[in-house]
Amino acid sequence: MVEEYMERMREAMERYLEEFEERRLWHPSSETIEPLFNVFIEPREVVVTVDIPCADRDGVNVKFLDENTMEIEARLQRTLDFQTLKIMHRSGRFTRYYVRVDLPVPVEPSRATVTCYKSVLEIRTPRKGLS
Amino acid sequence: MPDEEVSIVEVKEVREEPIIVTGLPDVGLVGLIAASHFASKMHMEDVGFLESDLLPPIVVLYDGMPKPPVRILNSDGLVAIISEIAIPAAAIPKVSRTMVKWASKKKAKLIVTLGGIAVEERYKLEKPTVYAMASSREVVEELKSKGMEILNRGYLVGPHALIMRWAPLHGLVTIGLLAQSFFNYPDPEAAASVLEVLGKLIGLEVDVTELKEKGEEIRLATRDLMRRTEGELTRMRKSQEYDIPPIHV
Repeated sequence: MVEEYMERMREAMERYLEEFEERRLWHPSSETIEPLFNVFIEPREVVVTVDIPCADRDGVNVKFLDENTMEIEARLQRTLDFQTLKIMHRSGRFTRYYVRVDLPVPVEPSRATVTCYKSVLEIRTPRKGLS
Repeated sequence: MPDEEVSIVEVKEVREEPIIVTGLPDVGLVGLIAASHFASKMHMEDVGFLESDLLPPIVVLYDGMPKPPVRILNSDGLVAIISEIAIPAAAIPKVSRTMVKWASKKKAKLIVTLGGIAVEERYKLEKPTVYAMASSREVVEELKSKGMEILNRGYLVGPHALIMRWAPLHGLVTIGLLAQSFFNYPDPEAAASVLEVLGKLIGLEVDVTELKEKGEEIRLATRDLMRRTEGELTRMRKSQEYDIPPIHV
């Protein structure tokens, strides 16, 4: 019974990892790049960090769709294309980062604080009903 | 084609007694970024590669020509082993063992594994500290006498761990240099710190200006490999490096 459960857990983990690894990060149709990000659940806060190299600090926008979902956008300092990265067989240009982050616990969006450290964005939001 | 599960193919002869620097994808891609930059600054040329059916069926194209993803570069008694793909977690023991055996065959003077050690809130650190570890007490003492910070306690997971474990069994001196780094964001700044310490260790000046000045572009260009590597880090239970080993009283 326990072994069966563990096997199912392993399979679910592997499915998640495969989906994570195969997801595309470059989206020419919307001119966006999906940034790498992390979500940490702390006792009283949810901390989201987002890696946004080459982004314009003044072009960062964090928007909450509801208490469990945030959208993060950051304008690139300059438009980037595949040719800049020496990829000649694909066409497309990129003007900003964009990602929608699902939070596993509800938060209070109005109390969110956003800080940028060396192109890593840190968004701290109090958890709902805990502070 | 070699028969072994993992083998090293030399296309040009590598002389005996080299100093070998390894940079495989790991946290923050620190080792890979550092070793690649080191190879470039030392004007190293391709002399071999690692061959195995355990690796994904990939070649990396340069100027229209395929190159194997795990390569050996060489110049004047210095060797760098780098990988441009995430090594599957399941292949890491065999890959590490093969690298150690090859280093032993070459009577390596020294193996230096470069990498990162992930720390919380890395983004708040002004300059990452580099920690050293070595395969014997004598070498640890020597590193201390040179003013290096020693990684006294903790777990190591992945290729560094296995190289550090197996190399002494072949009588090889091994030093690990790990800079505080991001876990899953590329970290060229940590790579620059590691190279500064490597330079002091082997008495060579390694120019890291480019790594510092073009850090953001490097981070942008290596994010796909970082994401793939993160999957393998999860599979090899890399987060165990955050654990505190038990103290026996």
